[in-house]
Amino acid sequence: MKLIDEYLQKIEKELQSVERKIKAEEEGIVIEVKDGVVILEGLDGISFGELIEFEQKQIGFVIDINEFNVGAVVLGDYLSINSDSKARALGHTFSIPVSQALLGRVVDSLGNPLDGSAKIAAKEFYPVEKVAPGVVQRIPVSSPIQTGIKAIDALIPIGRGQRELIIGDRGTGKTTLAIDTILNQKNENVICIYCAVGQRNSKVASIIDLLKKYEVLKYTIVVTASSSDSAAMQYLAPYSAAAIGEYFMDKGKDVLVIYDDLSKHAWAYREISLILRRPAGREAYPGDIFYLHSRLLERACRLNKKYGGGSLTALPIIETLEGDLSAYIPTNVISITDGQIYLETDLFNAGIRPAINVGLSVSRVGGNAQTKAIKSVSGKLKLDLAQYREMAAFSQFESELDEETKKFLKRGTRITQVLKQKKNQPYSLSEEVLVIWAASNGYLDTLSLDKVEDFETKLLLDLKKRGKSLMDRINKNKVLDKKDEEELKKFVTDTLSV
Amino acid sequence: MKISRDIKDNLKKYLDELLKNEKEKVTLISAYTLNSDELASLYQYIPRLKGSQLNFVINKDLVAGVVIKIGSKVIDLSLRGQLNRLRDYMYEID
Repeated sequence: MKLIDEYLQKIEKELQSVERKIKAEEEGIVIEVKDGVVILEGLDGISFGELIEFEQKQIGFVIDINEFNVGAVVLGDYLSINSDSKARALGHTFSIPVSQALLGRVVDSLGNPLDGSAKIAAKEFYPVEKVAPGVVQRIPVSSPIQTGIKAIDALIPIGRGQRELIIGDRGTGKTTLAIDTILNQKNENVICIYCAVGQRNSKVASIIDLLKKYEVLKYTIVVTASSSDSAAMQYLAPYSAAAIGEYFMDKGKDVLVIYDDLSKHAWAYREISLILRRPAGREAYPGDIFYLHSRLLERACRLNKKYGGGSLTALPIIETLEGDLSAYIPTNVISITDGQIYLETDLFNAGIRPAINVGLSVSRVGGNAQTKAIKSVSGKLKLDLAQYREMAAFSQFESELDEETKKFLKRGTRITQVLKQKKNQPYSLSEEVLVIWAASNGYLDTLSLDKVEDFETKLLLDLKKRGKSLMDRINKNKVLDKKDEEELKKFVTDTLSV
Repeated sequence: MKISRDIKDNLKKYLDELLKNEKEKVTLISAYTLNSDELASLYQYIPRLKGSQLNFVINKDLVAGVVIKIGSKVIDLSLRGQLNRLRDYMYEID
């Protein structure tokens, strides 16, 4: 009985707090139900993006307004909605609950928990569709986000607030690259959001498992709309993830959002658009497919001090078919982002993992954000690699090579070898700097290729044992000065002589 | 075939006139037939109803009170609506 009393008290309190005002509601009647999309009559005063509630308690999202009817996508199960069902306008646009409690949780596009735990307690709501911060609120990208992957941090650096595309065929390690980046944010005070769009549930489950295993889930939020969810949920998931990211960004935090992947997001939107009978364009995508991604990625930014100084870094993923970069969606997203990391099947199969094609990958703004330590060692590395690629192409035809060319080729192969990295093993800044320093200064040229990896592990082990102070110094000051180099030289020669 | 300007203008004027005379269509749903006293009190609260063309509908499901429909706008003043809202509030509290 006590429980019921408590319950009644709560209800009474709630009812007293609710304003009991009579107001007119917009009402509509369902005339058509198609795959996940409902066409309604009535709802004369409704605006684009508003939410409606059906008799069956499902929520709909208005995305089409015509002369005589309104189109809405159903968020959730649409099969119970039949023609003649009533729907009423809720009078507000689509927002999701946001709070600190989201950290470590798995949610769907609407902010409902999917991990079997309690509902997310939130006082604030953030609109899912929001216009990106303007020019006045932004400052240029200036500090780096450490991915912990040698090849990326050295050659294609990513800054906080940047949008860097990860593109490649299926099975080339796109998701692995993104997840490794999350793993490396352990002590970086960055909040990570992994947004899965149209992925297999088993894949998402194994990613969550991995995040738990490495104890990084506590600063990560997973937003997922799997391939069994409706197209509407898949369409909204990236925007919801961005809204969650914006909440933390407005709090002055640095946020990293991974959209995995935007090709499937484009498919979901194409499906909705075709059902709504919008004119189909190239590859049957609707005319506003570019805007679909540009408005999402534009929300990545670095705010200036006045607006809290937070940032939102976006790592969208695009899956290509047969390495075709000139397909519709890949070209669109390449032109929107501030650079791309191109992963290749051939490299992957040749054992070069991460399979980054260094020649085709660029970062348009990240260079300014690179730390001094990395910058000091990577400049030479880039040059060496570029020369190596040029000569490697030539040397295919010629059998007789002069000493100089041979030296370049040797250096190039060693550098390529040293940029390989096992998955789920992100490097700290000092580890990256030290290994790359050894390679670009030619200490590995005397080693045979298969010994390079061995040398790397030995060197790092030795450094962890005896050179702790050196590593801490580099991690803290983020510079590599003359004295450090001297010390490092000793370590390298010691390891080589063993 | 061209329609002379004169006819066009006259037709327009005529249609405008018709539209002006047309009253706003309002559907009034109630649980039972309202008597004149009840109607009078309704008119008092919502004067706009007087000038519009009323369409009375009886629906026992409402239990008590009225529902007024103007175009796609709905004003729910019925007991059923209130009970529904109460149910929603109870559902939200846990």
